[in-house]
Amino acid sequence: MNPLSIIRYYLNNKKRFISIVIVIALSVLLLYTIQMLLKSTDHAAYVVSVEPKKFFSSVGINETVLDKDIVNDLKKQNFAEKVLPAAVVKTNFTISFSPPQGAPIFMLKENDIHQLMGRMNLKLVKGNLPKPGRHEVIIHRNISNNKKLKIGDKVGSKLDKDEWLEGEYEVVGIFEGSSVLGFSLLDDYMNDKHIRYEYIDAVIIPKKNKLEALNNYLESLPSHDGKLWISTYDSTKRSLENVMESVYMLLTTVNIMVIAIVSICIGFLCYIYFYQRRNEFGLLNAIGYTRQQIINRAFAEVCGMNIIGFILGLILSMIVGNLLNIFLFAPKGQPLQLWDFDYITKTFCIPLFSILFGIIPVWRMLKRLNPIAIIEGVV
Amino acid sequence: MIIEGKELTLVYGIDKDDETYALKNVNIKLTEGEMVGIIGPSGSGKSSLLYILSGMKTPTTGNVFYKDMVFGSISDNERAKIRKQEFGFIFQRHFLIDYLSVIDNVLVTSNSKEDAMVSKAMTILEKLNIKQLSRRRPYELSGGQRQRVAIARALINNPKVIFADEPTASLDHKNAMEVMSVIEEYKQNSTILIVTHDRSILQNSDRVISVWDGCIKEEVNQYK
Repeated sequence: MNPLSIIRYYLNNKKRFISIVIVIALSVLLLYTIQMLLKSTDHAAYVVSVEPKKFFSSVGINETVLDKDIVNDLKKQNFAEKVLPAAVVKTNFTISFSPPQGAPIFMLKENDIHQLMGRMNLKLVKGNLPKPGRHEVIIHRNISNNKKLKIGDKVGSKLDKDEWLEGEYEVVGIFEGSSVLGFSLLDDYMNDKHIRYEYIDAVIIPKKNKLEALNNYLESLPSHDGKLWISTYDSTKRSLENVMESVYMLLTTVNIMVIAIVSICIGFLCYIYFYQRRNEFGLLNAIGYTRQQIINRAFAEVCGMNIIGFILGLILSMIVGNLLNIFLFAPKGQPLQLWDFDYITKTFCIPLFSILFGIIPVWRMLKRLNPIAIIEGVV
Repeated sequence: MIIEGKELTLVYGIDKDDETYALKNVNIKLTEGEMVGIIGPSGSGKSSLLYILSGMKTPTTGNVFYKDMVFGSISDNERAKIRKQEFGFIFQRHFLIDYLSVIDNVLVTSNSKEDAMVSKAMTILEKLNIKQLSRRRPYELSGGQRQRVAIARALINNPKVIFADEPTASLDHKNAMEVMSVIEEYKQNSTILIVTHDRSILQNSDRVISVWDGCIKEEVNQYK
């Protein structure tokens, strides 16, 4: 290894090297973890509210049942494959770092549940589908984890006054898939509510590649004095974005603060470390190394430490993320999004700005390097 | 003639009221294989002359000729290249890099750890009686040993010219004479310019030039 190689410098100056690398690595870990937690929060809310709307849209009218004319009109449209009578209720679903959320429980007819699950690629992994007259419910695995429910357990406001799901339902099935929701039987629900009309809400399954056309049609429907609610992919996504907007604003502020503090700290550390090495640089310049060569070496040293710190930070983040996921979040039905390209681009700002803040003062110092003054001990 | 300074003048504080002449119209020639001592009191301009002749400093007027090159007409980088490849430097303070071992300090100029270079460095260290210290760090050495390492560093590239600025100032007389004897060994292959205020270390030099107030006051050819 050459005497002036940056690896040699790192090996012979372990304390300095480690101090900078650790600061970078811990900052990357902090930022990565914050990104991961909030992205996971966003994702948890997304799979509960937005993801199902990739497969269907729903429409209803507050306080009453859906107008049969609307239903008939929907059926006539060539982009609607099926219009299913439905009611949508919610059960509590706790998402960390998020305002209270509810996971939807779709009340559908027995055959419709099977059909919709097939369309949504949801696979029943435990138990069976709900049977009429028994007040049964099937739920996604994340809901069962989140609410600590297993097959045979009962859930509902009769048992827990804080539960959003009215009545009492027995969990008879657990399924897996990309959308987090639950299903129960519409008939039981209508009997409980003494509703005799055919439709209370409608779930509309589009024909293949017709979701956008369906949604455009739904959004063009008259508002019925503002009582008509339309739930499409775009509308639920917009709602979620509105909810998460303040969270992301907070996240951006934290990002900027972390990056600024770390960059300034690294800048100071670099300046102190390089200032202490003026004699070395003065000597190198005197014996024939050009300023540019010395600056290049300093740049390589700073870059190397930052890149190593960044990589170490990513490794630490993956380890910490996995541990958090295994022991804390997955058991709560909110599995972490351990990897996203966005995490890398945001956390990369730390080494990027640290290099910038680290090298600029060093570059200014080396540009003014006066080897003779150093040799003569004047500075 | 390997290096020549013509009409060298160095003025500090130009454009200010307190102009100071470090050198005034100095002419000097060094021939190959010659050992020349420059002697003078502090502030006489002897170190400035060394810096100018080695290309580390640019004179206010006059020029330095090295082989077929004129320092005034080549770039800083080209002068740096000459210093690195063809000159060797020994300063009053050793300026060893504290985090490098002795052997790495010697190899700093070439920045190479090829076997041939390491072997050469070990030979020089052996000549300087510090081969056994090659793995040590500078803080583990005495002042004399550090200065020997600095000398080894100056010699590693087979320099055409060795510039030594008060090389024995930090050493006792015994160590100073030992160091000088090592430097003198390179007289056959290199031109040596030694700046000092201690005339006793120049007893084996070919010429001794006395500098006073920025001018050459006297030049003595010791073998005439």
